[in-house]
Amino acid sequence: MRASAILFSLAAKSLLNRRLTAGLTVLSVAVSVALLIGVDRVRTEARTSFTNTISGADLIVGARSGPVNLLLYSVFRIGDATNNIGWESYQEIRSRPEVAWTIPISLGDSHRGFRVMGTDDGYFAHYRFARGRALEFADGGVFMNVNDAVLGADVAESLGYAVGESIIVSHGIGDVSFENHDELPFKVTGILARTGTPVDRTVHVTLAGIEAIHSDWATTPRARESVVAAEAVEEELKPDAITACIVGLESRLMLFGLQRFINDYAAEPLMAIVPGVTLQQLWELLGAAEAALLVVSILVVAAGLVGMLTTLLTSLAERRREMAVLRSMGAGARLVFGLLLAEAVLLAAVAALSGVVVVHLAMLAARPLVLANFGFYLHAGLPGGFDLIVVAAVTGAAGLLATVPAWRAFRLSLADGLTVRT
Amino acid sequence: MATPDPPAFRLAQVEFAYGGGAPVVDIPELEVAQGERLFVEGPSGSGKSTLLCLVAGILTPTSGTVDVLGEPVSALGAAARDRLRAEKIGFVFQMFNLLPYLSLVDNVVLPCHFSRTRAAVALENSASLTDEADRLLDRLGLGGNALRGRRVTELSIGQQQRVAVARALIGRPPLVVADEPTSAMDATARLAFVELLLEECALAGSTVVFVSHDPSLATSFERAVSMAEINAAPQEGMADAR
Repeated sequence: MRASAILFSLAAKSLLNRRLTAGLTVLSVAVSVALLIGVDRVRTEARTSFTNTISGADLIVGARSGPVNLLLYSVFRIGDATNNIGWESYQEIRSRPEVAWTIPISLGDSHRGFRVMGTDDGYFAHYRFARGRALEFADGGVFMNVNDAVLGADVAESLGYAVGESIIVSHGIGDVSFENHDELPFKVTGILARTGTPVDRTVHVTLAGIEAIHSDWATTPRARESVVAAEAVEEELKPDAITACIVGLESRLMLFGLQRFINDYAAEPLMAIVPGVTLQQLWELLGAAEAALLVVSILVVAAGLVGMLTTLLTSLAERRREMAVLRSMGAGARLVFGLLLAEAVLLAAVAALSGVVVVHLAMLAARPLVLANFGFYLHAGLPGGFDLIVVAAVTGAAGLLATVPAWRAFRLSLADGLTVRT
Repeated sequence: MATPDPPAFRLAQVEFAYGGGAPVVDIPELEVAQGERLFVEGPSGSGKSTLLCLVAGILTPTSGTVDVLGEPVSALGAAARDRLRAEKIGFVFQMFNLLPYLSLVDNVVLPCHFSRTRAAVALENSASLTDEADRLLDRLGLGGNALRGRRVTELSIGQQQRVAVARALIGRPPLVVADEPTSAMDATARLAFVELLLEECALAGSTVVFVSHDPSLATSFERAVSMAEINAAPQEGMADAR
């Protein structure tokens, strides 16, 4: 106990005395550890977040393309639809006996960088996320009129909107659009509570509203009335098509029957996917890339540790005298060995722990950016099991690698004795 | 009760050669009584450093025996030799005696971390190890907070050597070995340093072995030998360098 206490106290003081080189070594190892943990963290966060985004939906229906593509654009607002579902087809699916509820999704417009989604009341009644949680309103309520809008929490927060505000929707999904639907402004009637899903970054309007801005309805006398209930103009503003729809079934037993019916639908090429199955396909698709990233970050950690090894080895030359002084006071050559080992372990442990701290702070900082660009929410939670494993592994590997300079110091101090020969 | 004190150290028929080469040290007999103050004179390459390593148990003789305070160093294992060195011997080297990353006081206290006996003896004098280090530094003319707060690398050579003496003397080891401690000093400082060292060692009751190439320092010691007298191995300029 006593010997190891001296060992670590000497090692720590010696490292502090060389704070520049020690600091740089810590920095390089810390960065590499942060990278490794970050890659893993983003990987698992992406999975849980994607999994949490949609819950309770049995099928997602869209134009026939790739299942992953359909899932990405309909639920995660990533990428664009290649084609639409005709309104008649949607009505037919909706009226099937197996179907309990549907949520229509009509995409393609935006408001200041946030996507606009046309839908109906079914969305607020049936959409579930994070294992069955329903959408809640932080302020206001569901849209009633053609030109009403309900905002996601992020939209309201980052643009500073409140209920009652008037907003203009643009065509396309760019940040800056040259085609504004300014003939029909929308009025904010509700703001949703935060969900940690792409819902937070969506502007929800009625299907009739979407249709209205794409037609010349705004110039009709009807549009000049101050309040036009969406139901009242249902026929007038009936859309030709929607982008996709989410389907809930009466019973999950009917799932494959309905899926087959939709996939074989003759009137137009449609596709129905089971969200969980398609997510699984997505993970398989990403698996190889994830593994490659993980391998690269492990190699970066290895490079960081080799850098530390180099620093320790080069420091030996100037520290032979110090070793001889310690030997003269009765320190065994084994203590000299242990001193180098202790230094490496201290460096690596400090570096790995700072790496963990850095990565969690970085994730906290990157959260809005990741949510905006990749549609998932980073939980910068408390360090988990993987973090501990990485810290232990890096420290252990450093100790193992440090046996090289430690062994060299051991041999040198045995040969040097009390006088350093050069 | 009547057993006489064992000699501070004793070498008998000691030969040492590096890696099977010609012996660099061949000392038929060298005995130093406890309390004695011995001056060993010899140019570099005369085997002085090897002699000190043999006494300190850092090297073991190729043949012959080395005893330190009655213990057969040459027959002990490496760990036991390290322990003996920690308990019994204080060292002062030519230069770079101090660990640059420790404070003055921490440098002085350091031997007590390797030896329980020296720590216990130091605590007989003072309430704590740092108090004892302070006391020794004061006695060696290194009092005052201004000096105490400095980094050891900011001290002059003479000051560094006095810190080294304090470190060698903490816990009163029975044997103090000084290896060319004055070679970096000018003549007056040299003499003053030797006097101070001898005075403090006398106070601590330690035996002193002082090795130097400078025979003019011999006058301060009660006994002086030269390597040429005691070492029968052929002496060349580079004989003890490998």
